[in-house]
Amino acid sequence: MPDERILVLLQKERNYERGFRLLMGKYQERLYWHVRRMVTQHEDANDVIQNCFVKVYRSIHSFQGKSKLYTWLYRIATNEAITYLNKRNRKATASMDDEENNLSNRLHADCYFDGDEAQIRLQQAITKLPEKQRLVFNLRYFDEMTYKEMSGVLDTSVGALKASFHHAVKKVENFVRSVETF
Amino acid sequence: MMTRKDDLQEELKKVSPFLADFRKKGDGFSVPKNYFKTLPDEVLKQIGEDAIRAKPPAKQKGSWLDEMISAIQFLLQPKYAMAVASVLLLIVACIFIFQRQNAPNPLAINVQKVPLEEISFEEMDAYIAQNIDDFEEDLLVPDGFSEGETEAFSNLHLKDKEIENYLDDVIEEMDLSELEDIL
Repeated sequence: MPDERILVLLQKERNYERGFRLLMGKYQERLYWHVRRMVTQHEDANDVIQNCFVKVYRSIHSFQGKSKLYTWLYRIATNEAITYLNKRNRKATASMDDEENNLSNRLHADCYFDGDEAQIRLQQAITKLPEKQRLVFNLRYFDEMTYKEMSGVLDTSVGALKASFHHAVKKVENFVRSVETF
Repeated sequence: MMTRKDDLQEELKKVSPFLADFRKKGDGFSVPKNYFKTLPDEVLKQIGEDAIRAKPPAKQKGSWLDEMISAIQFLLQPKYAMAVASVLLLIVACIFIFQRQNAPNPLAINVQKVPLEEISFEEMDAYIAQNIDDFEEDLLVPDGFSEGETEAFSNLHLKDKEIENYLDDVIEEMDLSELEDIL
């Protein structure tokens, strides 16, 4: 269903829940996977995505239509995920090497991770990227978002995003290949 | 027309053919069965629970006596008590002033109108004697005196002693029978 129709439903109280369910049906998977790739574990992603949609439910009236609806939704989801990660990192006291091991251990223990060792290394490589570069890599590599769409979400120029992505790709490749050759 | 996927693959092949190929493996993440079917219900449930938590608890209704006591305690708060006292004072003052305006004057004499023909000469004389100062001299015309004589008398400024001496002289000159009539 087009975003315009969903927004019309969300303007009337009697149609609000129906409009909200339609909105969730359209965007929940994309937003979930975006959050999941940032926080890696399903339980954490579930908490973050629910908080995200609660926020959307309460603040949809403030959406002014200056950007596309999914851009606005991605921004909320990204901010919620970053907030969660910052909170988790404040509690963490382990070194970077320990953090790699912790992530590996978490993914091995996670019943909702079906990947092999190579995919674990990929996740480790992505985790080592700076926060914004990690976002750029995930949005382009996994979500197939265009640079123009990404510019709306991250409020960064297309040129800067392209450069950031290319740097991230090189770093990730080097990390994964270094394990393979080791 | 190139799709998003095609566009990305073309770019990755240029930057990192390794990752362009690696991408086919996916990220390895999965979700519980029917997760996305139940997610909207979970979110709406959380919204409902948050709304209930945010709502203040409903006041429990007590007996009418408790409610009355509560109302009195509310009114006894200084700011409300002052306001109530001011209003009551104003009402009392208005009642007092209104009653005072309508109350009869206790000093007022209850005057009854009596026809002139029912007033006796004795009563008239007594009234005139009591209120002689209120009468104008030119209205006081004695019986038997002419206007000229009356005018002459009004111009006299006699002392009481002089008047007595005069009357003595008049009595001595009168006939005895006339004097007996007068007395």
